[in-house]
Amino acid sequence: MAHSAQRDADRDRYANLLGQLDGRDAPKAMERLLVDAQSLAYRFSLMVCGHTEDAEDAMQDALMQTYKHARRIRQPKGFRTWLYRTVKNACLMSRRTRVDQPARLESLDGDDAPDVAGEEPDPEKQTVAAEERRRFQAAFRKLPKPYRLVAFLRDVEGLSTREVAEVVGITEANVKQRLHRARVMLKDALAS
Amino acid sequence: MTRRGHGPHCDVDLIHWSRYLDGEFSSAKCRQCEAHLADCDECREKLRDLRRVVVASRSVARESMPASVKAAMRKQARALIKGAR
Repeated sequence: MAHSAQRDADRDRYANLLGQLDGRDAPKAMERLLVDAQSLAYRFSLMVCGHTEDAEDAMQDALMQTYKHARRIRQPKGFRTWLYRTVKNACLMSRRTRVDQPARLESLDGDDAPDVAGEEPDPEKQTVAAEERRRFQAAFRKLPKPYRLVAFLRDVEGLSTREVAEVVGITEANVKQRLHRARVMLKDALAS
Repeated sequence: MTRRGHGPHCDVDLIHWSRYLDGEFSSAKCRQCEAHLADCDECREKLRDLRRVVVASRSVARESMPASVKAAMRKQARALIKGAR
């Protein structure tokens, strides 16, 4: 699905879920919103912050913030940017030094089975895909943070340029500039 | 778009092709880009490499969520909702 179509689908989905928060299906709708918020915090922590040990803190924060505020946000368009802003703040503010504690979450490079529905996987193809993914993630995490943040929101998550500008707090022109430079850095890193 | 060179010495840069990919150009400029691409192997390669980066970005994180992490998220969400009832 193209990113713009995905954005529209997300907005419809959020509109639907937010609309259900006062009805009979409220618990299910809230559960989906909470899982979405945590999933986003997880991806953000690993791709932007690059620290698995911080992911749990960020996910917990995203969970609580979403639970607390979701009922008050009735505009689906606003909810989407609110969620990303909340997760961004949770991830960037929750940096803690946990030198003595092992990370409890699996990293994206872990051996745990990915949650992907579909046909029977081909082990050889899976190995190649996993290797490519590892290389890409390693290159992505080496991007300077301002570029990494914009590339994550725009290319990984599919936010529009305007939404990224709102979430990050920079101009649309600046978003574009950082995005293009990030892509070039990634391309160069993957070619080397 | 001014043609600034072809083949191994073409200096149309990657930023230009990233902007093209994002639809930042007018339709007239897009037509110029397409004419240039038809003529320039190097730029076709640049564009192909950038497309790969964008496609990899789009697929990487969503495909990699371990099932156990997702299960833990659901469990936490249910516990929070149940506790508040």
